[in-house]
Amino acid sequence: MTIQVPTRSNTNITALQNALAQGKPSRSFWQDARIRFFQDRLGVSGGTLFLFLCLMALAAPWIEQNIVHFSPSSMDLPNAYRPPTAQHWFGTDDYGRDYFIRTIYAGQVSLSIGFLFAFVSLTIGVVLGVAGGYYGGGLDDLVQGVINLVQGIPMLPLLMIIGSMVRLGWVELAILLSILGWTGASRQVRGLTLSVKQRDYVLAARTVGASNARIMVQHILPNVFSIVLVIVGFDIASAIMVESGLSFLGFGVQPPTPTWGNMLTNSLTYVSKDPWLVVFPGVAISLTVLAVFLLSDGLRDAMDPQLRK
Amino acid sequence: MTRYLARRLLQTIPILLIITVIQFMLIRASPGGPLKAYLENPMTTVEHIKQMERQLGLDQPLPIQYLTWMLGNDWTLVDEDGDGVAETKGTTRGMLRGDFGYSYFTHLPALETILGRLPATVELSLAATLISYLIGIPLGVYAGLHRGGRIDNAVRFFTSTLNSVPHWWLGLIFIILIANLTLATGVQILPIGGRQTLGLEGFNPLDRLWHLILPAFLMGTGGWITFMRFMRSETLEVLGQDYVRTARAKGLSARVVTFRHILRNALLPVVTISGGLFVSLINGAAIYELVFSWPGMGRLVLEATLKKDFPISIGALAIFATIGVLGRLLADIAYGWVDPRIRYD
Repeated sequence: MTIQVPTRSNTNITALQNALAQGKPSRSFWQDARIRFFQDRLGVSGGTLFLFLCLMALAAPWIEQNIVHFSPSSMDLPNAYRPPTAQHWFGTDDYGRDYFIRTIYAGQVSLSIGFLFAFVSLTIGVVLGVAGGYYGGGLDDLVQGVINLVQGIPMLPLLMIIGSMVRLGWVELAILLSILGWTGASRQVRGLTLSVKQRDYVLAARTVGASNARIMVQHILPNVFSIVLVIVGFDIASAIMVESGLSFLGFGVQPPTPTWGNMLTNSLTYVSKDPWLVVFPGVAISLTVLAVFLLSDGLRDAMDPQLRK
Repeated sequence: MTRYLARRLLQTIPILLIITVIQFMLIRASPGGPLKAYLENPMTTVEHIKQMERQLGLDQPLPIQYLTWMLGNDWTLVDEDGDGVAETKGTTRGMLRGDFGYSYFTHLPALETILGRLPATVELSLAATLISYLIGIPLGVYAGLHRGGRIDNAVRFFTSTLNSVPHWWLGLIFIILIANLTLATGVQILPIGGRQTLGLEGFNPLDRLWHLILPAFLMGTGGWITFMRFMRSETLEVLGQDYVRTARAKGLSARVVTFRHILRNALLPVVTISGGLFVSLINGAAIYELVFSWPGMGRLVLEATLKKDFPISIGALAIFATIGVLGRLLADIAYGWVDPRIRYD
C-alpha cells in the first residue's frame, strides 16, 4: 500500500486558484487540515467524546469526593451485587464496591496505557522506520529482520507467562506492549519514507550539503508526521483492547487497581443476577475505542485530501 | 519456486531459534527455576537436587545449558555423583527431539499435553476463519458493487461500531442473554460453553457443530470485518480495470463479470491476509476459550500459567511460534499460486 503524503501540491488546485482569485490569503497545510477537520461531524464528535472520557478519567478523584462519595476500593459486603440505583449509578460489585467510580478510575489506567504505548511504540517505530527507509541497505534489512522476528513472537501467550512471573504495573505493561507492538507503525513509516526520500526537496537539500540527520529530521519527519498522527489513534485503541483482554485473563494490571479488563474477570460468576457488572466496563472500552477511531479517521481525512472520495 | 520455498524455510530458522532462546531465558527466570517442582517436595534433600542438576546439565555454564536443553544430554556422559568423573548418561532428550519437560502437576510429558489440546483450538480457529469468509467476502463484494448505496452505508456504519467492541466481551453479553432466556423459558437455543454436551458418549457431529457456532462466530467477527473492508476496496479497484470494461464490452453477463473477473481478482488480498488472521486467531484463542469453556490449547496455557506450571506454558510458546511461522509461509505460497503474475525468483 502506498500512502500519498499530503503536501500543498496535491490539494485541490482549482479550489486554490479560486481562493487566490477572490483575494483570500493562502492557508498553511495545518490551517487547511484544521478547517477540514472541523467540517467533519463524525471526527469532531469522536474528538469531543474522547476529550470527555479523558477529562472524566483525570477528574476521578474530584468525582469521588464531590459527587459519588465512594472510594474505588472501599468494600461494603452487605451491599454486594446491588443493581444500579440513584446511590450506586452502576450498581456494586462482588465486594460491594461502587462500580461507577471503579469504572472511572479504570479509565485512568486504560487511557494511560494507551497513551504511553502509543508514545513508546511510535518512538521506536518512527526512528527505525525513517532510518531504515532512508538509509536502505544493510540497516534496512536488519530492521526488517527484527520486525519479522518480533511479529513471529506469540504475543498473548508470552505476555501471559511474563505476567505470571512478574507483577506488572501499568508502566511496565505499556512498555512491554510497545516492545512487541511497534512493528506495524515502523512498516508504514518506512513505506512512506521510501517515497518521500525520492522527492525533489530532499534532493535539493542534499545538493546544498545538508547532512543525513538534518534531511531526516527537517525534511522527512514532517512529511511522515501526518500518518504518525493517525497511527497514534490506532495504537491507543489497540493498546486498550489488548490490556483489557490480558487483564480479563488475569495477567495484566492486578486488582485492587481497577482496569476495564480486570473488572470483567469475575463478572461472569452470576450472569443472571448481575448483568450490569459485565455491561459497564465493556461499554466503557467500546466507547473509548470508538471515539479514538472516529477521531483518527477524521484526522486522516483532514490531512490527506486524496483519500477523500 | 523451489528455491524461493527453500529460502523462506531457511528464513524461519532464526526466528524459531530466537523463540527457543526466549523460552530458555523464561524457564531460567521462572520463580524457583527448572527444578521448582522438586524444591517444594519435603522429601527432597539438597543432595537430590544437586544430583538432578548434574543429570540435567544445570551445573554447566548457561550456553552449554542452552545446548543441553535444545539437544539433550542422553547421548553424552555426565558427572552424576559430582566426583569430577563423568560416568552416567544424562536424562534429558532435548527440546528439538520433543522433550519439553514434564508438567509440575500431572507429571505427564508437556509436549503430549499441549498437542493433545491443539485440535480443539485448530477446530475453533478454522471455523472462525470459515465464518469470516462466508460473511465478509459476499458482504464486501456487494458493498463494493453498490458503493454509496443504502446497504453499503449501513454495513460500513455497523462494522465501524462493531470493530470498537471487544468481541470476547460480546461473548459475555451473549452468555448473559442466552442464560437468562434459558432461565426464563427453559429453552436452550445455544450452549454457553464447552465443546460437546457433558456426558454425551462418542462423536456427535451435530452436537459439536451446535457448540461451535457461537464461539466461532464471535472469534470470526474481527476476521469478517477485515475481509469485508478488503473485499470492498479491492472490488472498487478491480471495477476500474480495463479487463472488466473489456469483459462488459464484449457482452458478458453481469454474473459472469462479477464472479469470473471481479471476484477472482479481488480475492487475492484475502489469500494473503488469511494466513496472518488464522495465526492471530490461534494466538488469541485463550480469551475465547476462557469465555466459552473451550477445552483448547489457549485455555491449557492459561490454566498452566495461572498454576505456574511453566513446562506447559513455556513449551506451548514453541508450538504457537511454529504455527505462526508456518501459517505466514503457507499464505505466501498460496499467494503465488492464486496469482500467476507473482514470480518467485
